[in-house]
Amino acid sequence: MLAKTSYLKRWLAAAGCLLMGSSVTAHAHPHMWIDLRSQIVTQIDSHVTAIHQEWLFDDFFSTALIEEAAYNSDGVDVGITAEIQKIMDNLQAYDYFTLVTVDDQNVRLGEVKSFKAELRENRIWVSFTVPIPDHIDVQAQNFSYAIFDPTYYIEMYHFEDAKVAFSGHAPSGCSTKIIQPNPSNDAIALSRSSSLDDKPDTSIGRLFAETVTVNCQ
Amino acid sequence: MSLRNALLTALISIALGTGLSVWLSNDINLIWSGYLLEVQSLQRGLHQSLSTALRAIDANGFDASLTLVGLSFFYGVFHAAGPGHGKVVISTYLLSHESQLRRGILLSFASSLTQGLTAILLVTVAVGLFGYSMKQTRGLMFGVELASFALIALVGLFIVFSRVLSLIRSLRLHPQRPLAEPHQHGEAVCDHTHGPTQSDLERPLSITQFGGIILSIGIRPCSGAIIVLLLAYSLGLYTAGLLSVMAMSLGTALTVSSLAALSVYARKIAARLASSVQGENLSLSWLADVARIIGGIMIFMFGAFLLSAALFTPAHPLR
Repeated sequence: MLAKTSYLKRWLAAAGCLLMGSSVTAHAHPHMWIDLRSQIVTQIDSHVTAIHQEWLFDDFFSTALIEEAAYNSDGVDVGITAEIQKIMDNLQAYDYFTLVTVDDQNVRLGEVKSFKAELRENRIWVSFTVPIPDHIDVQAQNFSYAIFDPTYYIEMYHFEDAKVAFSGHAPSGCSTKIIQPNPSNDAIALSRSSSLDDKPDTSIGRLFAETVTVNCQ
Repeated sequence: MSLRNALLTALISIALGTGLSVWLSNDINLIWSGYLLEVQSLQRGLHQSLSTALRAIDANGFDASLTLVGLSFFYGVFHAAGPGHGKVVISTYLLSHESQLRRGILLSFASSLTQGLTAILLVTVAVGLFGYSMKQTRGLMFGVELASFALIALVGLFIVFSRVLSLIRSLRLHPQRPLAEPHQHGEAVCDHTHGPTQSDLERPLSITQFGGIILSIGIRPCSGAIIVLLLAYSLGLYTAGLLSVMAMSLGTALTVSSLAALSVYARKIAARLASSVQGENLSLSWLADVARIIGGIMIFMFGAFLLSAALFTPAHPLR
């Protein structure tokens, strides 16, 4: 009798774990899409000072945003800027969905001071620069970044033809690469790592995110 | 083999099976996430095509809506091929409850079509009647979502309670269960042997359960349907929007049905294996009740988890 209940308990516990796991993924599919372009802003001494980004929102989200913007008494264009300002303010707490790492350590990011927003064929286009206060030496350090929504509510990928360039003074002998997400390997690493909670970048969104890396000779 | 031994054997094999699948899950993970990425990228493309198709109708007139309907259908098929809470509920229910294929498909179609109707009703009332903006309507979705998750948890609870009741009732009726005669069940589809009284007991209850499942899934409209409908309405393309959502629901129903069929057959095979191993079938009705209770608990936990996740996750910065 005792054995029976303990088997039942164990089975329930295992089933519960499976279920929790499946319900996390069950809920995670994107409802919004953003096409990206990004540039690495570098100084003359090959130090990275910022990531410049262009976001192109999807048609559905853009149409809703324009509808909201149309209520603005100063006109749609002013309305769009006001709506984007709200979004940028909200995004600051999330580092503008930008994760910069140096030698596998997360890097502190600054506040976006200004942005440009305009309408391009039914879609809202926004560009801004996320500053990196502690400059990074790409020649000496292992630098990479990813732009993603940790909750995976938004899917954010670079345009298919996008190449990440250096803006300003391109460090000599360095090249960039956009690495496609490989959730299978990452998911396994995630499921095997003992400490799931102490790393903020081990989210569902990270699994499906592209990673931009820099290689220097 | 005594009843207790049979039960024990079954539970051990379930535990072993679960252990094995957890052990294998790394490999399953690998295949699953690769597949997920494919579905996701397909969907991303389809989303863009859907908005392009809507703009084309706006520009070229209603003739262009055939493309929209076709795309919507495929969107439904592939959207449902990804992960989704409706599929978890339906397959858990079908795996833990004895059902015929017909019922599984009926359940899938009814819940998918209800989802489509809810989307149409919600957007039409919100936009047409109350003059909500697109953003406000999407906000309304959150409340509907919460209601859906709460209903899923309730359906799970209801299944557990009704099964516990029936278990108690059958224990009272047959304190020492006699050997049941193996018998042929009426319909040709269901030709295996099983305990006699349980299926009769289940009949009136399962209608309520069916309704609960359809409502709990169907009350939460597919997000894709909502955004297409919103864009269609904002362009003044009401008929095209309605056609698109109906095509989507049909596509979803098709995919969910195939999953339902898989669940029904997986259960039938498991039941056949169990009866061949044990050689006796008296414990099957007991086991069936235990399985249903476990299924009910799983559905409850799933709903409760989704509800708590939705309630305690901070608002998305872009919502």
